Amino acid sequence: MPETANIKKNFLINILPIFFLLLSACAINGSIFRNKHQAFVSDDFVIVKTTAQDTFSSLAAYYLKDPNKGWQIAEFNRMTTLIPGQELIIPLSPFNKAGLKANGYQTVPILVYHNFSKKKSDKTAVSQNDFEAQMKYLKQNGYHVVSIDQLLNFIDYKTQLPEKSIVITFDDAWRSAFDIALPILIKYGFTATFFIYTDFIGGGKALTWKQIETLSKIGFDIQCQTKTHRNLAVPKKNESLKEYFKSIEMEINYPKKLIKSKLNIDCKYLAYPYGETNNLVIALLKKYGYQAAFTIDRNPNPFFVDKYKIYRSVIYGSYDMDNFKNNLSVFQKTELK
Amino acid sequence: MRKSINVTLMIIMLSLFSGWASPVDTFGDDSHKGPEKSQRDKSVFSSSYYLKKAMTYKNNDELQLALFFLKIAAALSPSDMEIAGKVTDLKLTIDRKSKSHFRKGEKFYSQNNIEKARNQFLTVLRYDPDNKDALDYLKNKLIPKEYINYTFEQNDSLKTISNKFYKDPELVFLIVYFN
Repeated sequence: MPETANIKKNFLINILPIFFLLLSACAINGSIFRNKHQAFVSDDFVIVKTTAQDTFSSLAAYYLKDPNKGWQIAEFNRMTTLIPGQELIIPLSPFNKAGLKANGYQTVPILVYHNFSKKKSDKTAVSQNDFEAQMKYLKQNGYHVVSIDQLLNFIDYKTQLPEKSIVITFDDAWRSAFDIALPILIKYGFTATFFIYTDFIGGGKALTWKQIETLSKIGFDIQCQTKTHRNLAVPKKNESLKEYFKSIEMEINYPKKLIKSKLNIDCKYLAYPYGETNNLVIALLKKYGYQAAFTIDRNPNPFFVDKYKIYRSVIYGSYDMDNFKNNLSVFQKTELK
Repeated sequence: MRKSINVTLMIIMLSLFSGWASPVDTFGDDSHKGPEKSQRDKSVFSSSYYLKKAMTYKNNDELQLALFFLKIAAALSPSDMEIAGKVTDLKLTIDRKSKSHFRKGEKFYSQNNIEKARNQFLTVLRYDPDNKDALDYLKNKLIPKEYINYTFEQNDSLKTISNKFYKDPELVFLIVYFN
């Protein structure tokens, strides 16, 4: 018994003070960095008077638990900069999931690039300078480059996107996309999706599996564009319907399996070669678990777009900045009242 | 015994200095914590400002925003019956307008006027973002299907169905594959 009493005594003298010291240190540290707001918090919104330390991002980090949602606060309050002492409303859930207004609805453009060249551009190869100028334009003009996953959440009416949202995609798997476009994307902090057709991989001008793995590891999205890049919508000459069916089934199924085995990535989306599709192709895509598919019909996307006919706009090497800007429409005017 | 008292005193002192467990109700940048519902600063904010904003949105036919700001005004002045009445009235207006546009949308849909039907259902959703029926039209009924649902009838065979829909009895394999 006396031994037990000694243990208790030692615990009280030695361990407890250290425990409380540590706890106190944490509390002192927290209070130094506290950023005092006058605020009113309800279930649906917060009213806050901003301080000099606040940014949209810091407010979103605290109140919405996501620093990337600063745009949600900025757009709701229709402001671009914060002034200390300003009264702000922070909606605690999306306030306009489909981007609907009395005079129209939100649309999201998707850009498609193919090949790139260091200097000269041609029909499909965009020059390095042109690509840099286009990305710079997006950055300087407040566009938010979002992923296809984010776009699909918007299309599924689950989450709201920033008013000026855009998606960037690359078709085929050209090596020049890695050598020329990638450093520019990284410079501007933009994400993108690479649709690859697997027979092309490892060819002279194509990406290697190693490069595709690198793209995936640094956060870029890898998706399918069939095995051979055949036109899925049109049977070949002398191809019976049964042969055509077997062929497109293989085009849809094989690359999905290959990408899974090489990179452990589940392909959810497919870009149609030449942008063409038909009902049989769509039925097969659904059977093989694809959640959406992409054409090259030149339109931006409202939330009610057909998920298996999502629009994209090809950016050609011959485009000047005006041609480029014509593909960035983020709102469709129509009377909704 | 004296040593024990010293230890206890030290603990109390540490707690006081640190502010540990103190009831300060401020919002910090420690983002792991998140906001808690608080009425503390309610008097700082004016309900009349939000009421005015709500009326501006209402006049511009932005009824969801008007409702949102009316709810803010109501939360700041919970005993103000006039604001509570405005909330109720606006909800009724939203309900009436969304029902009217939904009926128009269904009429256009029955006439196969897809474009006009879509605009009506979009208008419903603008007034009433949680309207599941309008959303169903926009996301399902207005999008062409790549298949037809067919109920097997007496005397049907796969070949007759294939002939009926594909005009080719040899395409039975497609029906078999997808079923």
